[in-house]
Amino acid sequence: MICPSVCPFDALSTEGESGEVKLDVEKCQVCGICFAACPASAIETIYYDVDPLLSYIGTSMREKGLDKLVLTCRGAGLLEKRTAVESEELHICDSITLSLPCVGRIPPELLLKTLSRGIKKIEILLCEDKHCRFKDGSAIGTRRFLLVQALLSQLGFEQDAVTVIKRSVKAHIDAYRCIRCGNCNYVCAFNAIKMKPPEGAQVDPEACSGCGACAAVCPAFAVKLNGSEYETISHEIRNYRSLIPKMKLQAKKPVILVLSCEWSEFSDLDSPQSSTMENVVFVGLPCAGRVDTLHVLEAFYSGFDGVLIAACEKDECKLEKGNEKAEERISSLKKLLAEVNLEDRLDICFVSPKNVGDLDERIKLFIERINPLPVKGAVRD
Amino acid sequence: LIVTKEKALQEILGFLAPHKRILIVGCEGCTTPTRGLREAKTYAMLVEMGGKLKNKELQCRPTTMEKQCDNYEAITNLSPQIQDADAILSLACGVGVQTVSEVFPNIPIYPAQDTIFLGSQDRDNSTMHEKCRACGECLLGETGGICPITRCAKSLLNGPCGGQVQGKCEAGGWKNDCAWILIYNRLKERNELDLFRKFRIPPDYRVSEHPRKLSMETSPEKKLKTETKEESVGNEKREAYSELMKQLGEGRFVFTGELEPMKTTNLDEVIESAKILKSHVVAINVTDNPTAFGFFNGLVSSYLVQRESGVEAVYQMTTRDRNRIALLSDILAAGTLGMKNILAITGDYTTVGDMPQAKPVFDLDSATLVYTLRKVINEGLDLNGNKIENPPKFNIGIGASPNSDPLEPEILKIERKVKLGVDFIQTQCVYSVEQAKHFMEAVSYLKTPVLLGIAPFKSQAMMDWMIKFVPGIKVPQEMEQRLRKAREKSKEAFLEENTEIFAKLIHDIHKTTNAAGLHLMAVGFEWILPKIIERSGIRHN
Repeated sequence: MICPSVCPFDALSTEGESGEVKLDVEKCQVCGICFAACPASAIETIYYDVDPLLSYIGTSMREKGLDKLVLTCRGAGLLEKRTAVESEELHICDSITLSLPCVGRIPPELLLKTLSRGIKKIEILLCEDKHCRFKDGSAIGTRRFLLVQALLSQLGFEQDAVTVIKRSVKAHIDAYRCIRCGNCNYVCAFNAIKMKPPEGAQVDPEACSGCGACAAVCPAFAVKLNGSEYETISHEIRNYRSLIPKMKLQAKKPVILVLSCEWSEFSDLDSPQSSTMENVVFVGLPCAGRVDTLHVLEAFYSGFDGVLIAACEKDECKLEKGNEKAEERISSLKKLLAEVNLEDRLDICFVSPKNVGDLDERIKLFIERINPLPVKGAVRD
Repeated sequence: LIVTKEKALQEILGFLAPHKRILIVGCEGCTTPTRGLREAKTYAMLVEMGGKLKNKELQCRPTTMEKQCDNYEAITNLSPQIQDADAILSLACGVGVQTVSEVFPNIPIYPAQDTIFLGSQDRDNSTMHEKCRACGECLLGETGGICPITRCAKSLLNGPCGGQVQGKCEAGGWKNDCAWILIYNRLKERNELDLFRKFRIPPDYRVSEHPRKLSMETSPEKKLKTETKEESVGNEKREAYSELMKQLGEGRFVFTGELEPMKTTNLDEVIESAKILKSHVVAINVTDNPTAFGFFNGLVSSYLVQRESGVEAVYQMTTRDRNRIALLSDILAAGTLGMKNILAITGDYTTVGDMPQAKPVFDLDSATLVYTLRKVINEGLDLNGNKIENPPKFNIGIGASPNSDPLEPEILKIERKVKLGVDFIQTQCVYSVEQAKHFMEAVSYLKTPVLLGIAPFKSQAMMDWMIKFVPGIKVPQEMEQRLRKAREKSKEAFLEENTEIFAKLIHDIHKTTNAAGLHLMAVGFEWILPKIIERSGIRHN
């Protein structure tokens, strides 16, 4: 009975004399730690199952001719598309990168199988134990990989065939930009920011969990947050400005932006942009608490017909009430947007990866709702 | 922090309509909520999108700077950015907007927000609170770190006023804390109630004469502000100018009545009522725009009541509507018109009245009005020491609230005024002997005659209204139930029960307390008072 003992959320329990394992769906957070721990492969998962991962890796090897694999936890901050600088730092430019909601869900079998199919090196980036979004995922994963390392060296593999690196995204304050208003200090739920004269706000990296709530309220854009600072996301959104007219023509439907908390949706291979939704652009955020009203405005300004925020369900925020912060911000932004007739084109939904297809359904409904709205109000033609 | 509130986008778009290229300038100084680059960008997009809705192509450029109110900084920062702009939208407070406008007089500048006050931020409740009015003479050292100028609606220097119930203020609908009760609580905690007892003379408004200017080179001149009068309580021999005071001096139990001239030019009813009361009371109060309603002038009606009915008037003077110049002018007129009693009160706050938009004056408060009257009567001088020819003589009364909760600050406040020289005290209504006793015991050390207020109910509706809307009024349940029961029979039975109840009440108060008399208020049904007095068996003369 391994799985009930590894579940960080007490969602699994054994029942009766037969010892049958029961899953409490209410408690389950779909981290997949049990899936990786099950020696009998008796647990099924629809996200990041071994076979699709293997086939993805196999395809990437063939198409790109790469033999290095980097597995990262979403919390370790390597959101694709935004990682140019980071990737150089970590020497992962020539690698197949694969990011998962939690590396605690990677079974040893996957590592062994990839190595046997020609991958030479595997680098695993996981969150610091303390900041694991699924409580024990990082710690359990680390133990598991160290065992694999030991096993591999016995089998005669190179020492660095599997390496484990721990890192978590942290906010940094650019003291030059900081105007010492104290907004970040107030909004931080982890007590990680102190106001210190003369530098201004200072982040305690031990306490910071990288949710980005501070970045969303900084009036001076002084918060740096690997991959999720204002400029990076803004750039990403503004890039669509020239693409949107074409997208509209092709899809014959409104083109919308989904700002999604990366814990509120999992997809089979970490690319939520599936071909069935050519009119939907996803931008991942470290937490719904990072939802930035300016990004929403920029989306409308750039020509998106609607903006949908995807946040975790009530009480399921992996950080600290990020979903509530987002909701507050969105409702006050709606009042401003009402002055330019855009308030109906913004919405927030609360979803959970355990309800498969939930987000897709919400997106569909949102699009249906904004489709008949008069064009006047949507901006850039 | 300077607290600002954003204007509606439509208003801003209205300003910007004649322009095309707009520089939107944030200010990272003290404006709160912060309006830095983030807000400048927000406005830039909203303005452009809003313009588009009106088929207007606006080009906005967001920028920000440290302090728009520093003219040197404004020049150095904005000069390079301003060339191609034909208007500026400023996110600073009114100070920043004007400074930038002085620096670039040829470019139209518009405020994106309204500057509302100097205050502090309560982050947990997302609220801003006004804390300073830049009055120019900081009192905080004496008031427990709580500013009465800002946080008392009337900016009283000698509070609290009677518009306080359980620490809440009548202005703003009993939601705001009474600053003077906050001050009392803090000073009491620190064992510094002597600071609370202190009388403060009327402020010198020249220190806040607009526009103010401060030279950075010379230090401002210092002067000691408050005057402390070392007088023992109640030892002053009171001269009796009025019949009321004479009878009080003789130790007689007296009654006073109350009349209310309304929004009319016809005083017949008031004078008729005065005549009804004539043989039962020694004097009649005439109200001065009660509950801040705009009514017939109190001085003229006091005069007419005295002339037509022959009853002595107690001319009520509130400080709400007149500054010290107008008050002095009316004091002199009152002397000429034969007034013998003046009741000095602060007056209900303007917003509770029927013209709530009015500018509240409160140049003086009830204490400083007593101080003024004393100077006029005793020394023949006005507040500034200018000589008055043929100065008038009055007896001075003050109001008090036995319903006050907590009672101690009310007593200390009465003490403060008594030390200035008060002849008699008239109170708000009491409804039980216990309440009367309690209050009388608390004020007995002041050795000043007290006339307790008695107000029977004209109707059940009036009783319900009083209980519901007049905060601080405590009607005993038994009294309420008896009256309700009587009303079930008939209106007449209700009034009869009233007579019974209040006759008993005043009889008991007369018997068991050392009240010097009673102030009877039955506006609009004065005829009931003689009945009540008769039935109580108290002999007036």
